[in-house]
Formats: sequence, structure tokens, C-alpha cells
Amino acid sequence: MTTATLTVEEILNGTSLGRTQSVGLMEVIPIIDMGSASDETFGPPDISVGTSHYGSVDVQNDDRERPTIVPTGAGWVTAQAAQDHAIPSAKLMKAGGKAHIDTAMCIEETQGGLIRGAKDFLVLPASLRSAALSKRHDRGYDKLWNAIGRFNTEAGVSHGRGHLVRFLKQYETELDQFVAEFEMVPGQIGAMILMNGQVVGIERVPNVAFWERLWEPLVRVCYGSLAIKVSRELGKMGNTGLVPPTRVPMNVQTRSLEGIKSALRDARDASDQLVEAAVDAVRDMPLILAGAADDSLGKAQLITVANTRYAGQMVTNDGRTSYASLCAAGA
Amino acid sequence: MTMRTTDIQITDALTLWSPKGNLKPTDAGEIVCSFLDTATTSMGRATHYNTREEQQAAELASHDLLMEMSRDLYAVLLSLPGVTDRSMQVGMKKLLSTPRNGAVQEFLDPTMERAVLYHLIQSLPVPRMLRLIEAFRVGNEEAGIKKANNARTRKLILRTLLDSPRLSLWAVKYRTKMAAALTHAWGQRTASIVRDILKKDGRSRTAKERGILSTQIDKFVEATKQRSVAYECVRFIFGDRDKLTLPILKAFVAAKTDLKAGSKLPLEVLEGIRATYHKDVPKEEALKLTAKGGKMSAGTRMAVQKRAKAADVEITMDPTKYDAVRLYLYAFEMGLTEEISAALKTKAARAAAGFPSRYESVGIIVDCSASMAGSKEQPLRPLAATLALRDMLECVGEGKVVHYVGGQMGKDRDTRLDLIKPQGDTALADALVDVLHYEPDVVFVLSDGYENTPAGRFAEVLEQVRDIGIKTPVYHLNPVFAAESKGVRELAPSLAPTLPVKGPEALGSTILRGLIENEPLKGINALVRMALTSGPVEMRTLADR
Repeated sequence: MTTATLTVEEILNGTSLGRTQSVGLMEVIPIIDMGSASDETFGPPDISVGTSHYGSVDVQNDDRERPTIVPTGAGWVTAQAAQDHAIPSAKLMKAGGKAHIDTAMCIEETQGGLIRGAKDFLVLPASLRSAALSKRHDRGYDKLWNAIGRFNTEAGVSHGRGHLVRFLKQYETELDQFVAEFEMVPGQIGAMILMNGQVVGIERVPNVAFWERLWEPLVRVCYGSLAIKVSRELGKMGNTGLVPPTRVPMNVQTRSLEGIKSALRDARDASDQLVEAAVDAVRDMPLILAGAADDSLGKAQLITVANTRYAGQMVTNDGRTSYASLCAAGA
Repeated sequence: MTMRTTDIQITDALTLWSPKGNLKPTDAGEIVCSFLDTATTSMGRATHYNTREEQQAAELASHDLLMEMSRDLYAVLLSLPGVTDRSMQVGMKKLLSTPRNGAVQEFLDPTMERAVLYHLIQSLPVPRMLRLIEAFRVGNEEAGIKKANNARTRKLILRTLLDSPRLSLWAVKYRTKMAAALTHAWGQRTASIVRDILKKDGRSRTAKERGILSTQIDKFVEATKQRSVAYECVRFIFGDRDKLTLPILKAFVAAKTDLKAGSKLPLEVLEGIRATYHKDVPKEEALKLTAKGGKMSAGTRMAVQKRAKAADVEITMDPTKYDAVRLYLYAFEMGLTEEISAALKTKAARAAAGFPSRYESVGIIVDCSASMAGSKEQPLRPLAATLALRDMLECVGEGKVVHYVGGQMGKDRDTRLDLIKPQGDTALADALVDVLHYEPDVVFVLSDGYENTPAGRFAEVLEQVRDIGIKTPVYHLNPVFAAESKGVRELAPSLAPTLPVKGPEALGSTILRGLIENEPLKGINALVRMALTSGPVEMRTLADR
């Protein structure tokens, strides 16, 4: 793969798009393996994490059979009396391997203490992902505090400062709701996420088992937080009964069951066309490689890509895309 | 479209309960409905969507509201068919931890409330009953749970345990928990005194000692013959192994030296003895010994099938002894046999016989989407409940049309019988139109209520259906309690009543819930009557009034 020609279309290579799921302002289009797109080299991110200093995390791949990828923007918010941490960049991990990541970030500003072992992870809110990614080479435990503070203020979280956990607590019910609303479909290895009719996220993983592990952290905090933000912004502008412009209401022309069936089909077709147009608008958008590979493992390489609209990371394995996580840069 | 029979017959004469003070019937109806949602579906566990803590907080709130409104109504409704074990446990603890004296007496007298409590505790499986007794000692003020250590509680425990015909079996199977339960009921000091007295030979006990046994044991044992059994079992439970006469207790002692002597013991007990005293004997030996004549509960018979199959031991299992939801859960794990399939059909027909209506044609929409897989704690339970309900509803109509949404229809590897697995997204709107084309008398939608292609389209379609004059009743039956909606998730709130239901046996009370929404007082009293006829015999006299 050469950086000059890299596009979203290439990320979707070997996959098809499934039926759109739509709840509120968020829409999710499943990315489905058409038969040869999966990469079974990598196991799901079954990882354990601890901290020994502020600003670094010790990560272990608990799968002793297969390597894995610690997802971009993974974070650990624990109930322990410990400073929560996140990492700005993904990490390639050998089977059963350990890694010390010293470019991690504290995400709970005034909390002291070290994490003594955590498994469950979240993925940073989409609105924080590009800020985090731009500082992926920097050391400094406090490098995301300002961005978290702004994010909390915009979300109406009072006294939020650099405490991501305060946002998570304030919107706990809403975030749980996003997990409830969207369902995985057979063969799913990723999703395109639309917010208010615009593509805000492109997520692809190596295989179905990986997706089963990653989907909940992604939909709950990464994109759920964005849905909350967009709803608040539109709400302030006086919009009520929020649905995306891609959702076309039914228009029954003939007062019969056939007429309703036909209106149902037409509304779906019209919605599909609008969603397709939103996806087509980004398919051929070139993605620029941001510097040299961030990490490598065997034939797998972790690279960072960006353009005016998206920023994120990809893992290519022997020239094929195995993992991609791109978020709208201005989300 | 003809509904042939049978709307629920409500007799106006039976108005046992009406709201007091300023409480409006509609508010009372809402409180009762919220309680029913909880009582018939909540397990106090996490679901696909909510944590255990969220579920439990929502559950307690609905219990509290009904108890505050009417203690009598609360007590009676706990006896309804289909109320979960978890709800019975919560209810008993609430009733026992608060004195009846302060409450306004409406239609139950104290004897009847006591009868309800005995009925409820005896309805619980033994491990749950013993866990409840343990829970009486422990409160959780933060979660609004009080302790229950009063005389009423102690009497209830002693009568339940000592007067049971299964006391000797419980004595060997649950020795530690039984000792804890008896010690809790008697208190440390009295338990110690009773134990010392029972160690003595009957003839050498003093009059005072006989008096103590009379007060602490005889009083709670109805049949004189059972008293000597109770004496020996209590002695055994507190660790005395001398001069035992009851066969099961003797077998327990003998098995420690000769494993074969324990062939009549419960499997779990014999396995414990093997692991401690016969470490060289293979693990499956206990299974082989008890397979022939051991005391194995229906639950254990089902639970050990996988192991038995691997060890090539035949453990007979009668599928008719399990409820339909449990049979489906078993079939998901072990496969669907002809025998299980036949039992499911019989159970569906039997459950349908108790359903309040019959139709010429029934439309059924079955949600088999991914979320119907349930939580890690209760895998596949929502779908198992859904399939059991489908079977039953297929029997309430002469004709039927069944439409599946999502899911993967597959054949069982051995028997080739159909068994569906949850999968995919939730598109209920198309299914509704398709089913209505067949002009059924009624449509039942079996779903957890989470729709996403897109959300709200089911309601949009139903609104259009009503707009063109199709009045076919549409009921949404939901087997999943959802904490965030303080009940069950609705699909089309003002157009299709959403009724929570855990399984076919609870559907009668669920349908009455629908009635409460329209006519609260009639509905609540119909529900009371249903509870009176399914509750303890002492309450049935009220139903005849």
C-alpha cells in the first residue's frame, strides 16, 4: 500500500455494507466481511493494564496464542483509588507479550494512585481522539487535561476539569442506552458511524471476534459521547424530535396495507440513498500518511493517517488493511 | 375478524380493594402495573443493557411503592402465578421486616398474611429458601433492605424447616446452611441448649429439658411422628453422628468408609464425600452410583446431563417436570430431542388452556435479533421465554401466522428439529404489515422492545395502520425488564400495550395488566381474585365472597 493513493475505499476493501441501524441522531452501517477480508492473525484485545508512574501504562496481551492490537484511544477508568489513564495511539502486542507505554495520559486530573490491574477498557470520546493522537509522541501525563476540560464544559459537566469520569457519570444512562440500541450482525468486522447524516467514524477490525470485543467500548463512549454533544448543540438551536436528515418519514399514498408497505419500502430506499451519498462523499477522499510507522510487529505496521476531515490509525498486515479507526477530526 | 370468546369475566361484586384517601384509581393502576412489570420479569440480575445494581434499584422502588399504597394488596399479589422467585424473596423480606400492626387492615387479616408468607417460602426452591433465611439476618440500608429478625420471622423459619417431610434430605444436603438457619431462628444460646439436650438419651432428659424441646421443636411440628425425625435431624445438623436411625443419615456416615453405602444419597453429597474421603476413586463414580437409586432432584438431573453423557452414564430426565423456558435453555445447550419437543408442545397446550381468550386466527411476530441473546448472566433467556410464549400463543388460535425477525433458523444436529438462534438487527415494522395481510384477530409481538431499522418505525407503521381503519389489537409482550425505563421497553406506547412477561405461566396476569391500564379498579380486583385462587387455601375463602 502506498500512502499517496490511500482512501477510505481501500479500508473497505473486501467488505460490503450492511443495513443501516438508526436511533436518534446516530446511524451505524455494519461493515461485513464478504469472505476474505478477515485477518485471523490477531486475537481480540484481551488485555490487562496497570500503571507504575503517572503518564505511562504497562499493558499485557492475555492471549498467549495470538498477537493483538490495543485500540487507538483505549482508556481505563477504574473504581480503584487510582488515576485513570488512556493511550493516544494503538499498540501492536505479541502473543502473551508485555509493553510499557510511556506516552500515556492521565484522564482524571486530581486523582492520585496507581492502577493495580484493569481489564475493561473504553475508547476515548471522538471529540478527544484527534487531540490525543496529535500528542502521541509526547510524554507528559497532563497533556490531555485542557482538551478534557473543554469537552466537559461543552457537554455541560460542571467542575469537569480534566476528569473524564465526571462526564461518564453525568451521562451514564444515555451512554448505556447507545449500547442497547445497536446490534451486531453476522460477519461484522466494523462499522461506519454517521451523526446527523454525516460520516463521523470509520472503524474496521481484523475479525468478528475482535469486533465483538471492541464494539461496546466504541459505541458507548467514543461515539455515544458525540451523539450527546450533537444533540445538545442542535437542541440549543431549538431543534426538537431529533432525527438525522438521512431518515425519511413514511408518506402513505394509498390507504391500504399495500400502500403502507410501499411507503415503508420507499422511505427505506430514500434513506438508503441519502446514507449512500454520505458514504460516497468520503469513499475516495485521500488519506495522508503522517510520518513513519508508529509501531510494527512482523509484517504488521501501525500507521497514522489524516486529512482535513478525519484523523486516525491503521494497521496493515502484509499489505492488507487489518485495522482502521478514523474519527472526524473536528468532532 | 372475529374474537370468538372470551374477554375476561369480571364480577363487579368482588371489589375487595379500592384506593384510600386522595389516591386516584389511575395512579393506583400505574403503581400496580409497575409492580407487575418487576414481579413477573425481574431476576435482580444484569440484562443485555443494564447492570445488576441498576436492575435491583428499579426493582426495589416498585416494591416500595406498592407496599406503601397497600400492604394487603402487596402481600396478595406476590402469590400471583408467574411472580419470579426473586420477587417473592424481596416481598417476604419486606413483609417480615416491617410490623403488620401499624398498617391499615384492608381485606387480609394477620392469619391470612401469615398464610401468604408460608405459601411463598414453600414455593421457593430449597437453595433459594435457605439463601433467603440467611438474608433475613443481613440488611443493606443503602439499598433500602431491612433485616428481619423478629418473632414472626423466627416462627416462619422453624415451621418451614422442622415440619417439612423432606427434613432428613435437607439435613444431609444442606447441613451448614440448615445449622445457620436454625441458629438464626433460635439464637446462639438456645441452639446450643437444644443441641446439648438432644445429645442425651430421651429417657434421661429432665422435665425442664423436655419442656424446652416442646417449646423449641414440637410446637412447630404438626404430626407427632415427625417430632422424632426432627429431633434426630437437628442432632445430625449440629454434628452429632451417634445412634442414627434414619436411613439417609446412616448412609451419610457409612459412605465415608464405603462409598457404595452412599448410593441413596443426593449426588452432590456423595461427590463431596468422595472428594474428601475417597480421593483415589474417580470423580464419575459418584455419578454412576447415584444414577441407579440416589436422590436426585429434577434440577440436578438436568444439570448433570452433559457430564453424564461424557461419562457414558445414563441419568433419566423427565422433560415434563421442567417449565418451558427451562426446557428451551436446555435445548440450546444440549440439543432439541423429540422428547423435549413433545414436552414443549404439551406444556404450550396446557398453558394455553388457562389463557383468557380464544381466537380464530393469531398473528405472532417473534423478535430473534442479537439482543435477544440476553446477558452473560442469563444467556439466551429472553429468546427461550419468547419461544415458549410463541408455542403457547400458537395454541390460542385455530389458525396462526408466525413471522420471525432476525435470528438464524437451524436444524438440531441429531434430530433435525428447528431451533432458532438470536442474530442480526431488529426490523419489526415490515413484519407487522406482513402479518396483518393475513387478517388475524390479534397480533402478539414478542420482543425486548429495542428497534433500530430505524427506531420508531414500528410505531409509525402502526399509526398508519390505525389511520386506514384496521383495528386489530396489537400486544407487545416483553420478557426483559429494563431498568432505564423502570419497567419494560415499549415499542408503540399509545398504540400497542406493552406487557411484561417472563414465560407462558405468567401471561394470564400479564393480560390483566392490560385491563388495569383501561379500567384500573376492575383490573386490580380481577388480579386480586386471580392471586386468591392461586395462593394459599386460607385466602380462597375471600374469593368466594
